[in-house]
Amino acid sequence: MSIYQKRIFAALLGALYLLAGAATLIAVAIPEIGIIEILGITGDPAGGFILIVIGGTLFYGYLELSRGINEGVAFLHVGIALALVFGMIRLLSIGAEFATMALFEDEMITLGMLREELVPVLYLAVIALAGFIAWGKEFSAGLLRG
Amino acid sequence: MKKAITVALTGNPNVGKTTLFNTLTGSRQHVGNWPGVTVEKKEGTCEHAGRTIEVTDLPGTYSLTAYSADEVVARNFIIEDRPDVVVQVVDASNLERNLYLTMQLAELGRPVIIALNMVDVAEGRGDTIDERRLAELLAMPVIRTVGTSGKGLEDLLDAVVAIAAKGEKHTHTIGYGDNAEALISDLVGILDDDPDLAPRYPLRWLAVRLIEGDADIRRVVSGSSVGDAVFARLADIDFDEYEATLADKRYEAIGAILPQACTICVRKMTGSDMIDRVVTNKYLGIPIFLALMWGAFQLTFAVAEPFMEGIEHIFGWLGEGVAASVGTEWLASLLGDGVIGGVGGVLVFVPNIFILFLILSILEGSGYLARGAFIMDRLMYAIGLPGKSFIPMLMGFGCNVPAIMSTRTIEDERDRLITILVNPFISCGARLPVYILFAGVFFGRDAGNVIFGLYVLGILVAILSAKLFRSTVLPGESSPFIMEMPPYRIPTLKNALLNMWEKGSTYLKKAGGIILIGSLIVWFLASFPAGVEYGSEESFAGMIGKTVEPLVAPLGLDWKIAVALIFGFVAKEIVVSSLGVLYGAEEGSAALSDALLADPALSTAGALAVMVFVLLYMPCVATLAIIRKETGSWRWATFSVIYGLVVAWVLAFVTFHLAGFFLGGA
Repeated sequence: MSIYQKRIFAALLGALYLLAGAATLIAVAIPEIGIIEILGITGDPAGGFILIVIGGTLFYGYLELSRGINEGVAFLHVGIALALVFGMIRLLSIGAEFATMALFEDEMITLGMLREELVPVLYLAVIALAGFIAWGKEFSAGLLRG
Repeated sequence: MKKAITVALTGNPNVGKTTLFNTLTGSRQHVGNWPGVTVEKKEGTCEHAGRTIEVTDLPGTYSLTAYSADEVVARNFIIEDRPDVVVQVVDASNLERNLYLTMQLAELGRPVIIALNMVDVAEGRGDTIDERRLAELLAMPVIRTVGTSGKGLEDLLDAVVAIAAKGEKHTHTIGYGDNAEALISDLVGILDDDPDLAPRYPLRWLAVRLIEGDADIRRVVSGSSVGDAVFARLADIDFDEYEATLADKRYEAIGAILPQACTICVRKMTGSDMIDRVVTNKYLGIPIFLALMWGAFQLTFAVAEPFMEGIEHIFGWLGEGVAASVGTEWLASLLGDGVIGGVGGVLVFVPNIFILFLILSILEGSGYLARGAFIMDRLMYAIGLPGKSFIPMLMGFGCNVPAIMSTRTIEDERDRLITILVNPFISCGARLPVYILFAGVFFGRDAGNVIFGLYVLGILVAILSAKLFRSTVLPGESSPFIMEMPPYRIPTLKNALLNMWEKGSTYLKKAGGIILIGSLIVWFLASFPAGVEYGSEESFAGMIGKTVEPLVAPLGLDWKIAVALIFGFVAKEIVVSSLGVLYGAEEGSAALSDALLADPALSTAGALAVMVFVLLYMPCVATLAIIRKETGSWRWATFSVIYGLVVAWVLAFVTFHLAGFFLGGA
């Protein structure tokens, strides 16, 4: 894959994370903005911060690649890794919550509950996963095991 | 029966000595992917070819110059204990720097074997190493090893047995040039006149150390009969110049050996380089660090939930069983309120503790935590501490005791003292149950954020206290921070689980020991004098609590919390078990949670104040003992208690009133 494709991917995914992060933080300050709840965005300062960090990392990569600094690809790879790590954290947290409800509280898990859990850090991680599938090997090949 | 062979395992920091030691001896010493994990020597044994081999794992050292406390431990062991064989573990991916120590070891005249570790790293980036040629050039055996898999260990042990049987000493030395050699020769002549020195030290090595201005060796020689003559000969030499000249000569020798034994490829950017480029970035480094820490605490709180519920149910059944089957009222109370309420209340949090330790083990094993020190260096330097001080702080997330011991890697005594004094503010695993209990009850889904905030508060208080100490009681300049970054690794599940178990099992042992005893004492105090209502103000516990209550009342806390805080001095987990006993919780933390929520004396603001107070109030007994040991005085240990109490009280007071203003309840 060319540097150009990586640059575009970093720009788009970075912008999506930054927008979602900014919207989450705005929802903290102005909870009345209900419309963005459709996208799973509710006021959550820590969640907003995480989205901004991931978006910032990816966008930094885009800026470096645009200036012809090929090492900027490192920010794309690490940004993707962060997106997957936090997506996984969210997924595990949801799994644990539902397991508690089903096993100990005799509650049925409804579609509405599942929809409530679909937050940006989770669904944007799916796009990041596509990036990982495309370029993950060139990143993880240099890492040691042990 | 043949005498055991003694082996010293030495080498630079973070080259895999402890992993090799664990594989050789079957021990489970802590392994970390950062320099300075081992600060004391560790001993173990193994059997090979019919011989018993006693292995001592020494703290990592870059040279035998002994600048810091852990380097002194390593050097003194090799010189004074005279092991039969010295095995130097060498990082093959950084041969030039590692061979500097080899050059110095060779001067000691002890038999040396090189364990060439991390060849996989070197070869992975395209280097090639001819270990046979290297062995010829160094005139010592060179064995390839992979500590994690045990590859090459049989060959290493064969070499140890063979070398020990021969009893040959290493006789190769480096020529330091005419001037230095003349001086060394003169000094050896003088030193030889003292019959006590030669049996204890290799005289040439002693002379070399003297012209390099080694303060420790100067002390040794000053107590000798030839001290005056030695110092007269050294009167007008420039020690710094000689030290530089001798170091140059050693590197010259290394420079001559290396091209004959290995080829170093031009390096391209590896995965490790990529990660470092991002996580040590001056804008993104700290936000990424904070985000990952937040993720760790979020996971700790969320993923443990079903496991906690399961344990609560088990203790619920136990409580019901005890109530139904034990007829004697006092015995039912002892088992139900004392043992199940106390110990059960703490055991409920075992999943959280284990998950936190697993995540920290993974972060540590990956090499990321070492970057924490690098990222924080600028901030630490601004407050007058080296970035190296941040490593003990990170270790403090597990337990403050080993964290304080790890300060031995800090060369400057004042830097070290400040790092020791601020370490108790770093929230150890023992405090986690208190946070989970109160944050879970009073903050619901935001509990993870509250717990993360407490950890950040602990770090901030530690940093600000360091700044205060630096500008008042311990003034001075912080020394520059030089730290070699370990390569990133994908941690093995085995190592991560081993580290998790090593730290987490301490918690389990405490539950069966000190927490059980503490719970029984609190139960006794809550049940007597005879005839009083259990856990009432008329009980001994009530009397103690009521005496202390005026001190904690401004923090929004009542006598029951006061009693729990007093017992928390022994071990922080006892805060929860004491509350479990005093609130009569027989069904793990669920009943305790309900009881806390129903207590009219406790508000959300009060709960926040309890957590802040527990975070900061004073080191536990074990931490206090290690502060006494490491600082060598009760003065600093006492200071740590008083300072902690004052800071905790003030910040809990501020928290209670601020939270009361915003959340209500003050």
